[in-house]
Amino acid sequence: MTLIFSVISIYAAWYGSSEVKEQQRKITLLQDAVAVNMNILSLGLQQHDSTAWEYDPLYKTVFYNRPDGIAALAFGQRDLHTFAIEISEGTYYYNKYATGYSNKTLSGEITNPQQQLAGHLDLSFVIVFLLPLYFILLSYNILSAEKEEGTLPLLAVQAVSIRTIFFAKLFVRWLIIVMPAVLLLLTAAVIAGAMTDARIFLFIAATMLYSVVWAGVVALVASLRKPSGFNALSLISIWLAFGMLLPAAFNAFLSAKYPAVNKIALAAAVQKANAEVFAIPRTAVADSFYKIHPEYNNLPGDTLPGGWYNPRWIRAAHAVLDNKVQRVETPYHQVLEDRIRTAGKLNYCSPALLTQSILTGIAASDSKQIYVFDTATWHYFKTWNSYLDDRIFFKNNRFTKADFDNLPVSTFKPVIDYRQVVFSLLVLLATGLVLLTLSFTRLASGNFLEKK
Amino acid sequence: MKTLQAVNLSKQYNGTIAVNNLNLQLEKGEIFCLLGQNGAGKTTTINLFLGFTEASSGKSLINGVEVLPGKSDTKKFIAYIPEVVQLYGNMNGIENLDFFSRLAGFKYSDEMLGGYLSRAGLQKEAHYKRLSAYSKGMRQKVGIAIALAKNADVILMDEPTSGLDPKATAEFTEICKGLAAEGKTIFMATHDIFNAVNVGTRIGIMKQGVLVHTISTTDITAGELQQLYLETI
Repeated sequence: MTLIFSVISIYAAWYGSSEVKEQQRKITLLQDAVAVNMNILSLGLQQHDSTAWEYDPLYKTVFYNRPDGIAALAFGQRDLHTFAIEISEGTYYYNKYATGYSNKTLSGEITNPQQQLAGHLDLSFVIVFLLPLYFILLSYNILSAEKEEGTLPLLAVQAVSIRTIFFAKLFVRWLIIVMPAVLLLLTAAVIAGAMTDARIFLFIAATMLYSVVWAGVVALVASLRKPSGFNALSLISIWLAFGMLLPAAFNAFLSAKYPAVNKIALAAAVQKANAEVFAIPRTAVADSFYKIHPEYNNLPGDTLPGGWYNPRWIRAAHAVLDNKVQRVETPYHQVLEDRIRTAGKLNYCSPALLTQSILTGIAASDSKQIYVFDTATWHYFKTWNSYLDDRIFFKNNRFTKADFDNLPVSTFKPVIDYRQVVFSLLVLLATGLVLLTLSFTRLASGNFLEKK
Repeated sequence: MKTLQAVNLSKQYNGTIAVNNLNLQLEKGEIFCLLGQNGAGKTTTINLFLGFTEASSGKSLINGVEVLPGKSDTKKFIAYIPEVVQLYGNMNGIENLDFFSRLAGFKYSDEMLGGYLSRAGLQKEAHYKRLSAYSKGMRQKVGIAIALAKNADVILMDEPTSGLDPKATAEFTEICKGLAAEGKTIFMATHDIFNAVNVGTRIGIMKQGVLVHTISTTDITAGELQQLYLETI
């Protein structure tokens, strides 16, 4: 059994690691492609300053949420969301919700839907779902088997109490579960190249405390002094409730109360805004644009025949488009924030969900981080375009080599909420201790051989 | 010295009286054999002395200490040999004895453990065989060895010779006599009238939870006891 558990764990570690490496590889590929553009620009700008129409499609950078090694242990929802995006002149929302002609998100990053349905096997899955199952298999009959096999009477007349014997056996089984799990976590850290990452100790702490909770559950069921069959059925039911039924019920509740972003509606809004903005006269685009950016009003060149020259018009149209769509998307953001907050509270109802949230939280793979990355992407996009707007499109300045060298740089660094992680770990510890204390008290009273 | 006492001891299960106002006192070195039909209350009496069940009224004492279910105060004084000694089949005789001895608070060398098994009548070649390969008689001997190794003052036995062949029963009888000679008190529930007369110092006959007769074995023959038993039940 330990061997099977170990093989699954090693496979999960390898799988998570390969997913991380694949995302890292794609980010590097995109960075390399962008670097080629930027080298051309750099060389060109050494010769002479540029104008808007000369180089603007080449001004690009990459904004990415690069998974580090520890993410291999808890991959979370990283494969379901954009992890790298090209930032360049253009429209943010067109490329986010409709097929873009520039600023494309990484091709091939969207996971196979079949795979999405099945989910991924990473080490956090093994810890949250398989480890308790293994614990149940090892310990469901610690006490009941003694009674059923007839050894209880001889144990009951010894100086050591049955309760002490029970907890000693439970502790040994806890060690049998936890020690290989810790070794497997360390092995996985080596496989994932995260051996020097101190967060591995938080992973170990979460695993140990989660096992304490399950030890408490096993002890509480044993304290009912029922036959082995009853114990097994009860524990499997609890495992199903914590690991599957409650998450499914919570998900259904959250989906009903906080509907996910309707990407079809947003894609339609983008298409509509795109059609509108390019159908209206350029002066109307200018009016809308100046409402958003009054600082650019009355620029030289606006009086040229036909209104703005093409690059300025297109840039303004993109900005107007993004502004329109942002108003449609904003309510969804509020819904998403509410959903994440409510989901965080519901996690406390199930040790499995809480442990999963701890592990993905430590690895920065949770939905909160993905939302934060999404928001950070939008801010960087605005910063990048504002820089170009100031120097190329709306102030008629020449873009110099110095401007190039000072292009805004932003690197996404997930902010891990360690206070939340520690609090959740303490909740796990408290839950385990309450369950163990309760069962300790229950096992003290009455007699194990008393006829009912 | 009174090693085992029952004072107005009674036990009821759901309104049925299993033991009714039992009064009994055993001295060091006594072997008390309790006879009675199935359901007469023999096993319940033993369970009351072991603390496996709570008395409805009255009390039982071991070495003057009251037996209370869930409490371990009297456990150091008692050993128990059930009708069928169930042990851990995946361990051998030595390992089983070592395990139970440790639980009783004793740590013995393999040599000493082997000595207890031999004294209980288990042949040497069986000491390191897994319990799953043991016969009932062999298991019974390991049970005796556990009691010997615990060095308990009082040994409670529930039909210990049931299912044993005559040779094994005779060996068992000798061991019991040896233990009594060392000052151990033995309380044995049994159906075997002839063995009771042979091994016991006193005999009790129980009927529907009541200890109807208490007779010294010096005052009665096996035939007379059989007659009395049949008349009583």
